[in-house]
Amino acid sequence: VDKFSALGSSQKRENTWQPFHSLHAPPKPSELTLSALVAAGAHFGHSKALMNPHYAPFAYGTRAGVVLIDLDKTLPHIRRAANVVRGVAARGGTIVFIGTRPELAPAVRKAAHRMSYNAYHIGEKWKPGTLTNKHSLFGFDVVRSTKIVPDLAVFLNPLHNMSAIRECTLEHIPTIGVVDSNVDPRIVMYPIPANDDSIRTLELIAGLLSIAGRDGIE
Amino acid sequence: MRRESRVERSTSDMAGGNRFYFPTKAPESPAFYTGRAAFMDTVDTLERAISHARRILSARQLLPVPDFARETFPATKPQWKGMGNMFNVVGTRMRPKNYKKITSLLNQLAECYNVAHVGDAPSVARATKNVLDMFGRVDAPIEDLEGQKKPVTIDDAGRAYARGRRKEASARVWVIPTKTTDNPSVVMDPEFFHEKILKSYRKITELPTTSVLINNVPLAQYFVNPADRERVLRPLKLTGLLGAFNVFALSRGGGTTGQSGAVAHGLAQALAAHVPEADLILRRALLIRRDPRVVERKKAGRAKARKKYTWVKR
Repeated sequence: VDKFSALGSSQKRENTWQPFHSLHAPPKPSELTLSALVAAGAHFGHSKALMNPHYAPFAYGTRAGVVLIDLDKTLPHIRRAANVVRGVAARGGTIVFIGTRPELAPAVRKAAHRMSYNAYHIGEKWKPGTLTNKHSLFGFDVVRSTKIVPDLAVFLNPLHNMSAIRECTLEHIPTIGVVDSNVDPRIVMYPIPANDDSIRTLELIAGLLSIAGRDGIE
Repeated sequence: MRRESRVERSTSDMAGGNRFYFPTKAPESPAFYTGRAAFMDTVDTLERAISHARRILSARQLLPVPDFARETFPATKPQWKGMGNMFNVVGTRMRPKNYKKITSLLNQLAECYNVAHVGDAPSVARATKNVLDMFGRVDAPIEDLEGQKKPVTIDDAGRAYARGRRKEASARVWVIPTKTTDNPSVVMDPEFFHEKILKSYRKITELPTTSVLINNVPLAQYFVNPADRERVLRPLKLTGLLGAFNVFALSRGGGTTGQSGAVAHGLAQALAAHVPEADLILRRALLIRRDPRVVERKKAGRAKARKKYTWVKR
């Protein structure tokens, strides 16, 4: 319904952000802006008392007892992670998107499907032993014929997937993770300091990285 | 030992690549690491079909459905394949929780089909029908009996078959009318029996008699205890149908009280199938109801269910 164009507004449904855009129409990594991150709420950290001491480089400061994440550091970290994804995908590597909350399942699924092949998603619990006990979980035939160990793991909530991160380190898999202020950023290889409570932020980051992966495949 | 294989070489040279020397290929399904790839792929297909159909129907202004159109939808719920047959379509065995997830998605897709069919969107209707036919149950029953007890039926020979249970005993009971009349309902009428008794005043043998056989043994011989015999015959006596039906039962498990109660339970259900007017009487007498009283379990810290050990002051 177009109410305001007669009054001089040039904003229409086609050229404004709609809620479904965060999942279905994310920006390219090269087009990401600080204001997009702020709009998604990526700068909100957790309480000051819960801040991990190793997170200090990524914290801009605190306000009202809440840590604010320095988005001037987030942006280059996202670009670096996108380059990693693009490089892995271009060399034919397999990438797993992991987001184990129910709200994140559509985001990781969409990210995996956006890359036409070599991309996988885990929207529910990571099965412990997927990488370290693969013969029990998948069977001997599958292990012999299929490449089970991926080349890159992207975690949208690394704090709840510590066993998965541990398996990745044991199998020497590089990891990308969205780290919030209560998380030690050293647990993943390429941290992205951002708010992990905001679904919009995580959909944005998953979408960005999957677009980078898609570009790498082409 | 390096193996030269027909399969193409793995393209990954990254850290985290193959530990083995065998060339391998990447997994097919994007949901491989969930451990339930086939199920997740099916769920994904159905969800995409639903969102696609809903998008087109919304664009055609057919959604949301107005109330007057909803009345024209078919009243019966669609029937889907059982868990066993669904395994063939989906590709893996499913837990009940996962099966319910798929059937709920199918019901949503069936709703889209109804809207497309009634609202004249033939392409959407055709596409959704193709998907739904893969999951639809071929031998659907006429009535939708979901959540209801299967009704007791009377077969061609006039027998009603019902199962009864009491405590640990169960009984299979067949009830067939005696040769008094073709219409068992007439037997409920007191006038009918009075007339019959008056007519056969001298021929006692003409009186209709109920014969009860339990495990091929007559009632009086199988149940020595008069209370058990009365329990078995109670449904017939309450409804005034003693003499109208013959009873053949096979019972197993439990003891005398349990088996007599089980036979009575099955008999009551079969009688209700033969004579619908008897159903209300038997329900009020709690004979159709499966008696839930069973032996109470023994608890820790007590000698039996209720019996406590001797109380000691210190």
